[in-house]
Amino acid sequence: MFGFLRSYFSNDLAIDLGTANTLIYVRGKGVVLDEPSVVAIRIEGGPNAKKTIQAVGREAKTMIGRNPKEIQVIRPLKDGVIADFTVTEQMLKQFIKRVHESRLFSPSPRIIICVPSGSTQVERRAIRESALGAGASQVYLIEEPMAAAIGAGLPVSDATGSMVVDIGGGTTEVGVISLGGMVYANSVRVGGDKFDEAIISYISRNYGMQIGDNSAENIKKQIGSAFPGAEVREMEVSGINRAEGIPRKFTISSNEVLEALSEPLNQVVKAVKDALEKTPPELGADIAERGLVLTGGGALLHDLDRLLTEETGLPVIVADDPLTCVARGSGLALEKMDKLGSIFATE
Amino acid sequence: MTEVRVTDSLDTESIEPAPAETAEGVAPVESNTPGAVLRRTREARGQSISDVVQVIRFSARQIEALERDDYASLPGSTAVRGLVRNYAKFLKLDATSLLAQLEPAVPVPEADVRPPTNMGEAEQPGIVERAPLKMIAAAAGILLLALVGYWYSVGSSGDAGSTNSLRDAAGRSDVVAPSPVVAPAVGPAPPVVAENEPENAGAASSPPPSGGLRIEFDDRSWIEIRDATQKVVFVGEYPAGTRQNVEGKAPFQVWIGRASAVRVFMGERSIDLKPHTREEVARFNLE
Repeated sequence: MFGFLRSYFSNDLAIDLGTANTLIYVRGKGVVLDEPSVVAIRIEGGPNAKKTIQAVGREAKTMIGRNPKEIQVIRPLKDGVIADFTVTEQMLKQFIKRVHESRLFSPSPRIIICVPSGSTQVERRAIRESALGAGASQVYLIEEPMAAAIGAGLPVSDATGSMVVDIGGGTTEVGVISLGGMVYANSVRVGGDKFDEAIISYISRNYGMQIGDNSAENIKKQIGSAFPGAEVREMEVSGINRAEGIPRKFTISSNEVLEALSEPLNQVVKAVKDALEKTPPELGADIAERGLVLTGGGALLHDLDRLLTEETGLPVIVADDPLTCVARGSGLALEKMDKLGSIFATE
Repeated sequence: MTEVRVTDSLDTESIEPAPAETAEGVAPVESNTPGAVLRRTREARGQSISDVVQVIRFSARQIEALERDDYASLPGSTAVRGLVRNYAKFLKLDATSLLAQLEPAVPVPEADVRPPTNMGEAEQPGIVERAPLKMIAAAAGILLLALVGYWYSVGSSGDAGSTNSLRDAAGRSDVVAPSPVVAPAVGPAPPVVAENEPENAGAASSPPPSGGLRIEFDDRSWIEIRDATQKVVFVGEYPAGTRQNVEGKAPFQVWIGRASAVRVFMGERSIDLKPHTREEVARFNLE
C-alpha cells in the first residue's frame, strides 16, 4: 500500500545473478553494475575466528589463486545456482549497497532476479531467500531465457517463435518463446567455466603445465575459437611445469584451444539440437526465418555462431551487447512490472 | 576464416547472379546505404548471393532484400542487425559502421514487454491480486465512513454500555435460545420471564402498573428487554396478538427485532419506535 512512498527511498532493481558475473539494472537508469561474482573473505585468527569480507567483485577476482591462507576467495555460485548461501547473500548485500545512493535509509527495493530455467524448486527458493536476506522487500523471479530474449529485442509477445541460446558462466539456457511464454526451455550445466576447465585440463594433459583459472579465461577470451578458421592465432602463457615444479612459459595456438573446447562445445550443440527437435513445426519455421539468437558471455567466443550455423543449418545471430542481455531484459520487465505478471516464473 | 569455401564457390556460381544484380540497378553506385555497401563489396569480391547463403544461412530472398535496403520485408530489427553483422563478418567488413548507418531505419531493438492481447479473463482474478490500489483505498475509505456512521448512530441512541449489552446478548442468546422455540408452542405466555410477571397475558386491556411496560405484537417478532440491573426481564419470539406486561426497574434497555410489528407503551404513554429503528431493528433505552 505504501509503494509510492517506498519508491522515494529505494529504486527497484533487476539482478542477473550469474555464475561468472552479477549485473544490476536500476529502474530508470539502466545497467549500473557489472562485477564478477566473487567474494574474498578474511578469516581472522584467534579462538572465535571472525570472518570479514575483504573484497567483492572485480577486486576479489584479482585475488583468485593469489590469496594467502587467511583470505578465502569464493565464487558463491556454481552451475548457475547458489553453492554458498551466506556468501551469496553478503555479496548481493554489498552490490545492492553500491548501487543505492541514499545513505539515510537502508535499501529495501523490489527485486527481479533471474533463475536458470532448469533450476529446481530448492535452488529457486535459495535465490529468493538470499535476495530477501540482502534486503529486498519483494522478490520476483524470471527465467533466464525469457530475460535474455527480452534483452535481445526479440518479439516475445508475438505469435512467432523466437529461439534464444544464452551461454553464461555456469549454464547454457536454450529457450523457445512465443506469445509471452516459454514453449520449450532447457538448461545444461555447461558454460564459460566448463570452457576454462577444459582448457586447463588440455594444457595439463598435453603440456604438463598447470595454469590458473584466470589464465585459462584469458586464453579463452583472446584466442578461443569454436570453429576452425583460416588464421591461426597464438598466445604466450605461463604456468607451473608439473614435472620440474618451476614456472615456465609456453605458446598455445587457437587450434589447440579449439580442440580443448570441443567437448563442452558439443554439449552446447547437443542442447540446441535437442531444443530444435522438440520445437513445434510452426515455431521451427519461424526460427528458420529469423535465426536463433545467441546471448551471454559465451556468445563472444569467436565463431561460436558459425559452429551452430554449420551444425544446425540455421542462421545464427549474436545479439547486440550479449553480456548484458539478461540484465537488460529483466530490467525491461522491471520497468513494466506493474503492468504484467505473466512472464514471471514461479518458485 | 572462410577462405577455402569462398574460393571454391567463386568459379562455379558467381557468374549467373551478377548480371541480375546489375540489371536491377536500383541502388546507384555512389549510394552508401548498408545494403549497397554490402552488395558492392560482395560483387567486388566476385561472390554470389548463394555463396553468402551457404555460410550465413539466411535465405537468398532475405539477403536480396537487405541489399535493396528493404528492411520492412525482413523479420524484425534483431534479425536485420544480426544479418548485417553476419554478412559483414563474411565479407570481412567492419560491422559497427554499417550498424550505425542502419540505426535510423532499423533502430536497436526495443524490447516489447507486454502480455499477449487477450479477449478478457477466462476466470475472474482474485480481488486481492488484481484490484488496483485506488479501488482498495476507496473501499477502505467507504468502510471507514460506514464504521464512523455506525458508531455515531449507536453512540447517540444507546448508552455507553450498548456494546457490552450487544456482546452479552450474543453470548446469552445461546443460553436463552430454547425458550423462543418453546414459547410460541406453549402459548402467548412466555415461560422464561414468568417469575417477573403477573399472569395477565390474557388480560390485555388491563392497564399496566405505573413504571411497567406493555408490549403489543401486531406480527411475529423477537424482543429482549433488560432492566436497570442488566437482568433480562423479557425475551423471546412472540406471535401476532401477544400482549405482555413487563415489570422491572427502569431504565429499560429494549431491543426489538421487528420494530414495525411491535407497539410499546410505558404506562399510558405510547413509545414511538421510529427514531430508534434501523433496518427494522429498534434499540433504545426507556427511562
